[in-house]
Amino acid sequence: MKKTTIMLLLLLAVVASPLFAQDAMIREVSGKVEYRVGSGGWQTATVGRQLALNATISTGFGASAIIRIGEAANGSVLEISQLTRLTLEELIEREGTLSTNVFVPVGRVRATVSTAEGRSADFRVRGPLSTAAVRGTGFETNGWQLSVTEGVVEFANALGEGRNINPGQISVTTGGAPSNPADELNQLADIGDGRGPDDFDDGPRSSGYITVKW
Amino acid sequence: MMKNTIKLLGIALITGLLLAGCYVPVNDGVGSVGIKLPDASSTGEASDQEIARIYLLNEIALVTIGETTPYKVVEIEQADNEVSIGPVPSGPGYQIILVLGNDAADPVAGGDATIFVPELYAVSDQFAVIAGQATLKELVPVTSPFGLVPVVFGENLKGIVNVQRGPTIPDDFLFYTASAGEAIELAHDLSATVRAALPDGEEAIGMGMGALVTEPTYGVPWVNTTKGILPYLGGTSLELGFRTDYPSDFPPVLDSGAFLSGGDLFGWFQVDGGLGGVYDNEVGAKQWVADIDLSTFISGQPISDLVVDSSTGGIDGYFASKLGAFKAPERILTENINTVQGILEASSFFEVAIDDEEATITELALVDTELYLGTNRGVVSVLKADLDLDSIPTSDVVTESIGRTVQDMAIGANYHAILTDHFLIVSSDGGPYSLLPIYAGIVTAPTGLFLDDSTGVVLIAGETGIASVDIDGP
Repeated sequence: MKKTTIMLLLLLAVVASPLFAQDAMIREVSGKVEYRVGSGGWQTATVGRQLALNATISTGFGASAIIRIGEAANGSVLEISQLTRLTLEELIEREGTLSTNVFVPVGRVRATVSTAEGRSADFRVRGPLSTAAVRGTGFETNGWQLSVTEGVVEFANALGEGRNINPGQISVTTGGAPSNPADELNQLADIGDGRGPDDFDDGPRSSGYITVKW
Repeated sequence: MMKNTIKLLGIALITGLLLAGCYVPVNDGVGSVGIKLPDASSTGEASDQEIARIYLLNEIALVTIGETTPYKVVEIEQADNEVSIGPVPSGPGYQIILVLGNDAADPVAGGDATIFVPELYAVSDQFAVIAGQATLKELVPVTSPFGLVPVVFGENLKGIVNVQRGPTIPDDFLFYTASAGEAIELAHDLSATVRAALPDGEEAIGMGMGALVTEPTYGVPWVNTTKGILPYLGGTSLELGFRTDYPSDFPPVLDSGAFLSGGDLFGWFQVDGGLGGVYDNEVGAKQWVADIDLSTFISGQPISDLVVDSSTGGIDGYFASKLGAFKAPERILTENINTVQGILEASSFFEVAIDDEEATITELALVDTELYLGTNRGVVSVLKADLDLDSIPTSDVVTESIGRTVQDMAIGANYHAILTDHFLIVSSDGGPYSLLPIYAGIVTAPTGLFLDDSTGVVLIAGETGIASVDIDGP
């Protein structure tokens, strides 16, 4: 009886908590950017377009987009790079916490998470291999690699094995536990072939090269 | 809205077919003709090749890495068998297709123009590009399985159809294609051509398997042109009189087909955003139906594929359209159903979802009791008797086709050939599927696919002629 009462109270507490949908809006587009809701047809993304829950954004080669989530003045910002697909899986405000879940099966996004004073953010970017969860910070991820610009990010693989990544650090997971930021892989190492990062004069910071040999 | 649009499309299409008189069987790219290809002439030595082309895929997207082309071109001697590509965005899902070959003189363009002829190729596994690093991919090229048809080398061909003129006569079949200005007949062994010039100011767009009432024994290739339809009698003869009763302002024809029944011709054609039909009994004027305008709903070809099933004693039509796939039963014709409500009730739309995500059906093929569906996410086979489909798990999709858009498909009893954006997927005798990058052949922008189900030879027509491949190997 007591257990039932407690469960009912918990249920009532959850139901009684006011839930509000957050706004998500396209703030900038460059190049071929499309969106769709659920399994609907793809449409051209335009600045000012409000995005519903389960909307998916797709950027073509050389294209990019910026989405603002939450309040116009204090919302979080997602910068979506080229060749990226991103789905808005959760956009909810509950008891002063802005909960945002986005799924990035392919591509790269940079998130700058911010909220108005007195509110907190639960912001998660999920990829096929990993989830990055943050509370008020800035980071960039392509679903398997994470670099943090501000604050602390909890970076975990699909099994929940994770570690905190601090500002200026990079971590990588290809399915296993996220790598230690101190590892050589994350130090932008030059592999000594004359095509290392110190030889890269152009391209975005997160770009790489391919050497084809036969 | 979408449902109404689909209904309207169905009404218009079926109405068109009713006006045309009957369902129309089309050339599904499968035949049993007995083509034998000569042995590949490649030396198989990487050192004999002068040019390397490198294609970079990210999942199914071709990533542009060349200055003026999607692919990167290097002279092997200067490259020293090693090429650097980038910068490219970091992330997973990359794949390299390396093609080695030589430039050959372009016999059509002349002058200094050349055509790249692949000799060797290699395909990497999928890999990730890591930020700030050079990812090394070491590849071992192998001899390309693709050959070419010399007599049409360099010609920008608009499709390919085959006419089997008698099942008991060995080698009694011919291939027909067209360049912009000519209809072309190829000998059964692909060794020689005879050509017919198209009228001035008229250009070929594609090929269809048609008919003529004056040719009761064999099918007649139709050349779809910028000004209508030209039946090709073979050799140097085009049937210009066929167009005597054209409607005014006949639009460019994107696709067509026809057959004879009881000596009468029943045909159909597609234009940009519309459908039409033709009936001819050579007694009165041809009856053209060309006012089925669907451009409000769609652009381009309304129907991407159709197959006709007469194996069960009746005639069922299966259609893949831009707005949905549906099956139209024979009773629409036999019971003279000619009301909108009746047509809608008789026809049945069907959909396919892969892992609960809807897939667009673009290609169809029938083999016995199975209906193969080519979609934007791969190939699945379902029982044609049960098209009330549950979501199909990815594990039931032809593995090699998962995530790829099917452009054309020829499924025979013995061999399968599936043309996707970048790969030809083939199998023999129910065995495993193999992936062959189309870039390892001379045709990289296919306009037509033909499979000889008796030998496993596949022909791909396109912008530089015809590429050929023997599924069973040389």
